[in-house]
Amino acid sequence: MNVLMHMADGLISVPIGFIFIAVAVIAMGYSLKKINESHDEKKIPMMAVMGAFVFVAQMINFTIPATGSSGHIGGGILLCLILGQYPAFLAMCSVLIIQCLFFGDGGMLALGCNMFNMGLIPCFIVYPLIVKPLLKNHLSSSRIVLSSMIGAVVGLELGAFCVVLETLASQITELPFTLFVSLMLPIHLAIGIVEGIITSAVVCYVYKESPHMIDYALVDKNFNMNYKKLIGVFLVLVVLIGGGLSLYASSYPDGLEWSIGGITGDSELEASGEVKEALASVQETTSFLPDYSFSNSDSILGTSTSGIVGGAMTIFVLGAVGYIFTRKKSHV
Amino acid sequence: MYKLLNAMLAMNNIESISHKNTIIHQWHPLFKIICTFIMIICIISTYQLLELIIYTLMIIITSLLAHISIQKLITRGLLGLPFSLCLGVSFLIFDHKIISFYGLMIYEGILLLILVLLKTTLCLMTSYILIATTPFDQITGELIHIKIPSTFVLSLTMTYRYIYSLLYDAKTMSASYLLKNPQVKGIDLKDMGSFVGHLLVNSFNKSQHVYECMLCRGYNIETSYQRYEKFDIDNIFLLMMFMSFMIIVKVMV
Repeated sequence: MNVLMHMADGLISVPIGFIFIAVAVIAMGYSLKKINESHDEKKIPMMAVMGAFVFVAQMINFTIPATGSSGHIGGGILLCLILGQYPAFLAMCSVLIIQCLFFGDGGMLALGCNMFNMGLIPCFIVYPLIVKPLLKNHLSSSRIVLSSMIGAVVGLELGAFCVVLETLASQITELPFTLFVSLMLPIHLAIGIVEGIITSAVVCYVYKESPHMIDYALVDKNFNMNYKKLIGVFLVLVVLIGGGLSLYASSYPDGLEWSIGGITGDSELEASGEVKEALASVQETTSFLPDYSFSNSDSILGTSTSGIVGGAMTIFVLGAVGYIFTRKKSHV
Repeated sequence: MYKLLNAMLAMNNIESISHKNTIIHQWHPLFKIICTFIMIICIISTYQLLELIIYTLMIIITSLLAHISIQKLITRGLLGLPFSLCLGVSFLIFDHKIISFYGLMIYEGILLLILVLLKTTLCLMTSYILIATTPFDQITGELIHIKIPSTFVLSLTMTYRYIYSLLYDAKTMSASYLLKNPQVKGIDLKDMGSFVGHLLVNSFNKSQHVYECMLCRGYNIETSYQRYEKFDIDNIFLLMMFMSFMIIVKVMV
């Protein structure tokens, strides 16, 4: 079996395809704006060479030991380390378009999903939040190896996890969530480790030959992240995913409920004991959107509202925690 | 290396097919892009086997008109099967409901599995027909004319062209490596980092020089697509016919 993260058209539903195309287009527009702001003509041929390189590298499948399957590298972190995050995202999008058109690797409607899983996640989440902080203050070969390994593994695992979510949200498979996740994540962990080794070997060589290239991608002021805008983008994503995507979420029980159902015949376990009963009654009073829907109503708007409200509440809690910590720091 | 050369041949092959002069090749590229998207959406959104059979016939007729080998079309269609088979098998395991399908009693899971496989195959065939009947520079030209930012289109075009150059360099480097180390079968893992790194650094320098030369000669991607065939009224009528046919298929079947 060949393990791929390129999703085909037959594996997603039309709404999911369009939602992710919209997200990818927004990310592409933002990246293009950032590149144009930098006025750096040298980036374009580099993007093309790196794109061609990742294209070639993705064609080479390697065997995953003890699994009987094979996989190929994603290349997102490699692109980020050499080009910087925004050109890297665009280079990855070019690669995915060519692969889809010429080699049938991934579908046209699924392009948005593939750009999200293999481009947006490594370039907009893993690179700025994990790889860059690891390298920023101390750029050395050992740090490159460490950050490449962690970046490649986390990027691929998150990408594979998103493949699961997108397929389940499209209701294409009847695989339970837990089983699907337990099939996808371990195999991509192995691929991630191999990708980390390849990425670190290539980047270490480039760092030795022309260190300014890695340095430039890392510290270029034009490509520094604007946190206010980042928060804005994530808020839009919360509304899009929470309000839109949640409408197409599978109505089947989740992995845990499915397993419980298999054992007890019911998807939920009744609380027993005084403390548990008291807690259950508190939960009943406080949950204003039980089972992600309005009380006593089957309206699909309940699911949408739950998505947005849940996202907003999470952001509120994160904001409060962040505020308390930053206040504490400034007092010290 | 064998796989890389195969890929190079496959790309060359598609490029040569896309320059044929059949009725399908003569259609406007934008019309073909829109039709491909509509077709994929229709294929994905249906659960009617009869509707899928109609789409299959449409694909076969188009490929015959475009002189595309049916064997190649099928090979391309089967590319996505492994992953869709893995997901589709879950229907066999979890869906044991028996339903009547045109009088035939059949497990619902089997029917759903066939649908997923058929949809994946048809979508891949549809996108193959687009690329086999439309040269890549016509597609990028359309992207420029529908106002996709030129930086992205330039990066896309150059990536496509550099694939050949990179594969050629990799082939040369690999040949010299094997001549230097006649005992080894491929590139040793310990040399892989420096081999690939060297290939990259060389390609960077080369691409930089090529791009600077292009700029010195006044290259601008927007002006290089000036010979543009307008999306005329006849194309709009053709598109109306196609869309109305698809709607009729959707409603009637």
